[in-house]
Amino acid sequence: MKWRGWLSRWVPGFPGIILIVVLLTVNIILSGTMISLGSINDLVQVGMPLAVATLGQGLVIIQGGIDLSIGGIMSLANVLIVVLLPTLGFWPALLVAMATSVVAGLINGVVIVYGRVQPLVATLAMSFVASGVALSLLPQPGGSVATGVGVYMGTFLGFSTGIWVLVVLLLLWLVVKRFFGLAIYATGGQEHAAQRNAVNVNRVHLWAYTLSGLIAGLAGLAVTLEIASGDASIGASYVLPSVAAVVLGGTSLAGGSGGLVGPVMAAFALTEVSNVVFSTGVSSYYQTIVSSAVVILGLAVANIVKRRSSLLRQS
Amino acid sequence: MLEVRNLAKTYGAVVAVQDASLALTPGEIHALVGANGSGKSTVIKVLSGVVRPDRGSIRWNGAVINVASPRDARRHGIATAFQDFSLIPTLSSVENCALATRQPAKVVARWLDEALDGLGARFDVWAPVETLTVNHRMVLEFVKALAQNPQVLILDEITAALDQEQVDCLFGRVREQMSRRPVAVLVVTHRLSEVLQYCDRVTVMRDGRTVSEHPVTELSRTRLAELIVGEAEGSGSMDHAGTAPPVGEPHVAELVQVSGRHRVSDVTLAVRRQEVVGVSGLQGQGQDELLSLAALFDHPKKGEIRIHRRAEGESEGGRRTIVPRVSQREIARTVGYVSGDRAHRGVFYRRSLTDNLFAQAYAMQGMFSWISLSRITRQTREILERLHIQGHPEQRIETLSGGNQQRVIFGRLLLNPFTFVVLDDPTLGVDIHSRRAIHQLIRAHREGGTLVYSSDNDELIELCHRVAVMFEGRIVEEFTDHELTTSTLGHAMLGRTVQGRETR
Repeated sequence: MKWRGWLSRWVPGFPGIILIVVLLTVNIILSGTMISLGSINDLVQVGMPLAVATLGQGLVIIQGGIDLSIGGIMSLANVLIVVLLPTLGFWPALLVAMATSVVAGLINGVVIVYGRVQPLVATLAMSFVASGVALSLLPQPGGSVATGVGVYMGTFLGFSTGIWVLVVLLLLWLVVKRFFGLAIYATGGQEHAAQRNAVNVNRVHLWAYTLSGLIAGLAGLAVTLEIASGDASIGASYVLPSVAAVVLGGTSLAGGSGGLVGPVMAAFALTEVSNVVFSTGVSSYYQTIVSSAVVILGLAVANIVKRRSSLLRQS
Repeated sequence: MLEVRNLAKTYGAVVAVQDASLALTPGEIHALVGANGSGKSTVIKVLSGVVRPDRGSIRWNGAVINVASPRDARRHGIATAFQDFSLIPTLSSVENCALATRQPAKVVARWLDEALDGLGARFDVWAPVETLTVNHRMVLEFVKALAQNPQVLILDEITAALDQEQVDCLFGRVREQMSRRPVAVLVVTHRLSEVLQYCDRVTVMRDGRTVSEHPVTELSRTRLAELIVGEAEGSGSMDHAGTAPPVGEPHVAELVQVSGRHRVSDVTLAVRRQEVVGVSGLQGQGQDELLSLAALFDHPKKGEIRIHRRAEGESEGGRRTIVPRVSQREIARTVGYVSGDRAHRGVFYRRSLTDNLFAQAYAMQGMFSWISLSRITRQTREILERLHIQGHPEQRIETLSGGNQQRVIFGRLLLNPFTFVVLDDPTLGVDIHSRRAIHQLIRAHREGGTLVYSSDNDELIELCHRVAVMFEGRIVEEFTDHELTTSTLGHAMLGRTVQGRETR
């Protein structure tokens, strides 16, 4: 009895994990070399911005919403760091960027909770505002952040610093889950039932969007360290992939179920898809088509697995 | 002691509770009884902080307490098991209890299995609640409320889906809890035997008012039923349809030993042309399913449904029988349907009066057929005039009052000579004036027969030639003519409940 319940709770997260394993294997076969720590570190570094963005997106989706402003906030954080770096130095610039991201997230929350605006609309508006501000601060891509890259490129116990950042973030999620987790899931699962259980759903929404803002800021940091310069439109390409990664990781868009480990795995899988497609030598014109097809296939498989596991439960 | 004084609550134009007062004593099980729509649920919702009252106060040992939200209710030690649940469907049973009791899931897992087992419910406590049966959810909802270790425990019709043995265990568990701590318990139920068997006091509600309070020992089953029906006040009889039932007319709809997928089992019912047949019963006895079967929305699991209609262009003699599996268009042309649940089943709020009136007609026309705007606008004007509604055809329907909206929806029945009309609580939340107008429309429907469900027995008596009373999916009794009174209906609804319990 018990293992079935346990299984049904974890199985939905598997597709992301399975997909990443399959893709790594395919990559090994295609490139003909054994998998190395170095290649994993590379993957982590390239996939880091999306993985972090997915954490925030997953949190918001689980509590019953969606955050389309992640990209805008990422761009804004990136531009703030680059623009402020020469005058303030790295850490103060970072602090300003993160504070701005938090405020943006908080505004999302306030508009959604107290303004009763749909999350989709509110966060889309915020995404325009944030990228607009970013663009006015840095109309042309440029600048550099050489000082920070050193920290990021370093390794600790053989793994890149990026992995450790991710581990810390996931641990943080577990802590959040321990204390707020049920309230987050309850709010996303069925808001009025959550209210009847004396959950302060407004506070849950506010916290979720604020945290998502902060995490988007961190994703902006990750992308800054990766490209080592500023670009006011860099975040846009992470918005929909972050939603796709959440779904691919077994977390339903309807909210109230799933977790964040699966989505983060799926985020890396999405990055790895491009790697694999690249190493097969597909023309760059067709890369997007092929990787999108892989995503759709992954989603279909995820759904079938999910339905199977619920059949298992009923038997 | 928890006291409720002079509570009142209206939803828009509908008065749910006019004046309710109630006193709960720790160590007592107090029953709140009343017919459908007498306001019990609203009282419960106010006590648990889900709904804020317009007037009235709640006192705890004489001091006024503010229960403006479920969080306030919780702070004052009030726990409620809701009829419509307070479970999160995506979470497991363990997590739901952990959420309610603020205990860690591991701790909950230790006692939950045992607690459920004691109430005859064995299932995987780690499976999401959305996969559980209604019976299991009910038990879980109760266990969850009890686990909060409340000072005031409210049970809102949670025995409806339980069997006798489970009900027994449930009240045993409540008594056990009361022996440990003086809990004040409030039980809402339709089952009179439950009141007499397990409860100490009873408060009766009628038409949004609490009318009397009695120790259960002073009451007999009949007396309790009388109090609920309220027959002591009037003679209990009302004018019904006024016209004689159409004996010689042909049948327009026949349900032969029909069973549905959910509650309805082995129902046989026929409606003649020009006849108005009512369906009555306590909430959730299968009336809604019967109606959607009769309106051909659902296919029956067993049995046969036949709708007869005059073949096109033919006179009296030639009749055509349609059964559920004919085309949607044919069904839409033959069977009319109006629901009182305007928000979900009737009105397109943001569309014009014309669109709302012709919604069904559009569908019947087929997707690419030509519709003359000037013709339907003219027709809309005519119908609005006939219905005595002040309004412009292009006006949005949401600008009308609830009663006028419903009359526009009834206008659909004037567009087409339906042979069979199904009405699901047609005057729900409608003002008295519109209600009268709608009743006239129903009576004036001479081309076909009508099947109507109403949560209000008086309405059925006024409207119908014949009323069938349902209990647990079956038709248990039918009344016509002078047998059709408030008291016979009330007794059949409640009396059957009593008998139903006894024969188990």
